[in-house]
Amino acid sequence: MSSIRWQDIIDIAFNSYILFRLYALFRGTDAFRVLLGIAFLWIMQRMAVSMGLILTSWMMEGIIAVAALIVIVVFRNEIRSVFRARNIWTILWGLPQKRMKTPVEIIAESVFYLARRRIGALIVLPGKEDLEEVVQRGIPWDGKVSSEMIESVFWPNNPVHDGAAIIQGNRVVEVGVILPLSHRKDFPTAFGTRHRAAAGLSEITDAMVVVVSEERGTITITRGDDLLNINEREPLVSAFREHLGIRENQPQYLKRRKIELRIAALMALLIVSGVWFSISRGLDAIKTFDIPVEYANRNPAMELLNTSATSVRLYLRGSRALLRSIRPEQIRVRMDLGKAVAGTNTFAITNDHLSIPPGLSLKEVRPMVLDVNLDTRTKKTLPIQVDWVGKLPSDLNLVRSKISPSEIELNGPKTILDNMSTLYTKSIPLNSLDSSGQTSAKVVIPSAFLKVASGSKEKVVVEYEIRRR
Amino acid sequence: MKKMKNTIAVLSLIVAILSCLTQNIHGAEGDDPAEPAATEKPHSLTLVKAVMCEGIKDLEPKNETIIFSAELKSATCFTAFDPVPEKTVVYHNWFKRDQPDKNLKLTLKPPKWSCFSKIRIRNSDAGPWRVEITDSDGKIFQTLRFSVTE
Repeated sequence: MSSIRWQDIIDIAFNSYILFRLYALFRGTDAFRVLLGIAFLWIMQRMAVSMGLILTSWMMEGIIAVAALIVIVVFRNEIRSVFRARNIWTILWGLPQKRMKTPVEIIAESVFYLARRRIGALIVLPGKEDLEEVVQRGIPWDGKVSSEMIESVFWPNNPVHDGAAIIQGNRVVEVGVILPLSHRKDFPTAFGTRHRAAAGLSEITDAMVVVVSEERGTITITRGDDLLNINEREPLVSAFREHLGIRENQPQYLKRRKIELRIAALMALLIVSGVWFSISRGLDAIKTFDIPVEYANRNPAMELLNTSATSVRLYLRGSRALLRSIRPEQIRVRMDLGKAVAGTNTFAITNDHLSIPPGLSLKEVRPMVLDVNLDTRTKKTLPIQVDWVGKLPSDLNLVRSKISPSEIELNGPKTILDNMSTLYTKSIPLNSLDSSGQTSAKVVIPSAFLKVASGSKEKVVVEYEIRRR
Repeated sequence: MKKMKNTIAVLSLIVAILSCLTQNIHGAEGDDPAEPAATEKPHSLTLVKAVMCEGIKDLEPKNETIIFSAELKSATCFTAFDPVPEKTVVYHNWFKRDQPDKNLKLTLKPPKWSCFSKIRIRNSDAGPWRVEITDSDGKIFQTLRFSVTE
């Protein structure tokens, strides 16, 4: 425990909070239940691995990978509504119970009033899913819920009375909304288009829709695949409360909710701590990584000629789980050439040159020192010589040749250029020559560090004189 | 008197040839009388002729060339100096692809002198070569370039 760093505490706290927030935001949604299922599958998969059940572990791994994708696709509306409907502060800190309470009594009272007057109505009470993609947008209303407001929206002479009204919290947010129709074949024939629209929305979302029949004055609520006729006020209010998660005994409910969230926070902390300890404090192991060496801050006037090693082998110590998850790209060996001079520079590789993921430590490094050869750039003009190959016919003699240009200026590391006194052309075969003439040839630049200076040509013309013996 | 002068001249020539022959080392060979003098002679040691050739015949380079087949078994560098103000030495430095191969020291004697050096060549010597003709201070008079082919 004494080896726990302050970074580790932040690590655990931060991830615990993320886990807790995910719970707080998605609690009660279908997506959350599926996520719990995936977590359970993951635990099973780890157990299968530890028990050596190869096929089972593979299969579960595959299911988890596919399920994670499916969750994102299938529950995209739910996920979006969680992140869209609330501001960033609510996502990071706010708790769900702070949402505005829906006045269910007023809605129920209005619905019965409309039914008595045989005024058709369609009221949508959304659940946790976003309805944006499934309904055809109506007219933004944003009026506080009241009996008068609801009755006036559906009053026959009102231009928007035919569409649905969406109520969120204590606001009528939208009116004149067109809902998708149900395609059920067993739909009761007594119900008209308004009922079919209500059923259509509740079939594909978690919204509850209340329908008031214009012809019969009946009240029907749809939720999921269910259609339920309501004749009295109390069952309607109860249905609203159940759908919206409103408890009659609110203070007690809030207290219970608070306890539940505290338990959730504690569970998140325990789970993350458990995972963290299993990863970073598991069985110690050593793993080797061959990491290429990076060189930084080289003086631009100097050229990196060569190094005694292009990569180093690091022996890293840490928990097996952590070592297994590390990829070589996460490790860096970086040498600072800021103080390097022309010639051979010897650097001892220390922890300062390494960038390794937290939780791992360096046990050994091979080689322990690196020789880095640097050189300054300079220019040098070198004569060119023809590299003749092959054999002239025995009766011929190549007496002289002339190259134009006869020399080339090269730009490159000083030590290389100092050791060079001649440049040679590519091989020119003699076998095909039978009289004096000229040919062109490319000059061989013997090192990749050397460049032909601007103004010089890499190709030369060779004039030669052949005489008979 | 004239006969005596001729005798001295012939003797000098013989001595000069023998001197040069005895000075040559490891593959370097002889010299011969100097070229005819120019109209206005400089006062310092001057290289008047430098050629690569297949051999020496009658004290002159035979078959000047820049290609030496390994079948020839040898390559010769001929140089002539005029004037030679005082007894001195020059060097024929042979390089095979920038790598020094042989440094041959040759003695020159006034008033003018010719000398040559010769190396043995084999198939493994194929490639571009050069000979730098320098004085005792390393000053390069001329560089001769040639190729040895298989």
